[in-house]
Amino acid sequence: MIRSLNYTMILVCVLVFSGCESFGSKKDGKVSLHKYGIPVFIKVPDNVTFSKASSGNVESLTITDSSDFNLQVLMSPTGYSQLKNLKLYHRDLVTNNPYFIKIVEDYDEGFIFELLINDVRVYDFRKVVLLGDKEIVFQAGPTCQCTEKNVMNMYSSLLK
Amino acid sequence: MTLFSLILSVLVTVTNVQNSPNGYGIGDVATDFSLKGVDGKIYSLSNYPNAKGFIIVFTCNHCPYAVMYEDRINDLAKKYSTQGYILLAINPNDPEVQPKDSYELMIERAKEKLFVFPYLIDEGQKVYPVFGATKTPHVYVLDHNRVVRYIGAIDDNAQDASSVTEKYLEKAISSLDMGVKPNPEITKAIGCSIKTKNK
Repeated sequence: MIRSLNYTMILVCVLVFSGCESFGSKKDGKVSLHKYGIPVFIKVPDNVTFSKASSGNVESLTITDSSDFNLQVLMSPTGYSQLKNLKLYHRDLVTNNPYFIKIVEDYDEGFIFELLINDVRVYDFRKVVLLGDKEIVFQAGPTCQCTEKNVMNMYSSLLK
Repeated sequence: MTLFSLILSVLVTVTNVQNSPNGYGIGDVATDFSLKGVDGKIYSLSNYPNAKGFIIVFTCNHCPYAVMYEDRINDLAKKYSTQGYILLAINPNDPEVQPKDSYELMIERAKEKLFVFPYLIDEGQKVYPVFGATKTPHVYVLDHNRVVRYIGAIDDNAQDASSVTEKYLEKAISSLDMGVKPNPEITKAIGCSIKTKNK
């Protein structure tokens, strides 16, 4: 009886600690953003810098490296319950931008688009996730003068 | 001139140019902020580690003075972005007090006027009191270490850009580029008062 209780306790401890492990740094090669208040795992290059901020009810995390990885993740309350509608909302916001040129790629959960600002062609994307009453938006960082390849790479890394 | 009149004239001068009694003064280091732009992104000073400096313009949709400066602000953003200076415009007004300054209408305004700079909303009005801004437009120039180097007006003629004789902001940035103190460091910001429920 005591022995089986001990085994049970050990099993519980293993489960608890392995559960906590998922809030650590990596899982399947992906980095956990839990410690920044954003409950997702994503693939990012080595040696990235995380910069957390909040504005009103929006939690923001900007992830950059020394080359061309420049990603911003926003989490905020959402009024949407369907991913399709949330994506359409963000698509409308983007296509209303006066510098918007075209949607380059369209996916179920996001899209890549092209802008022309001061005769410079830049690319950006949105990938949206619904998590209960929160929405998480992945997009190029605010300072990124992203190329198409650059954005494609960032978007792909979010799918892995 | 008597000592009394000398002190009085100094006091009057200081009162005339003092725009920020409770905010930053020249030489203060600005703390970082995070504000939402009309493009849905969150902007912070720390997003620009390589910036040569920052031009922070408190402005808004509704104020006629702010409107008169919109094209000039856009031109300044174009001009100085190529020189490493980042222009960030912040709407400090409470949209419940001035509905024309809502986030949705900021998006519309940015679209109509083809703003090339991040147009940010001071949600909760937490940033403008830290700076000590009192008007729209009200400008702060920070150097690359975020030290406040110039506070005040963009130039000396809100009504007519072609009649400007003193381009205070541009002069301040030229001084920074030359490594000298702007002269003047403070001018009187002319514009509308910031709209808040607290007043």
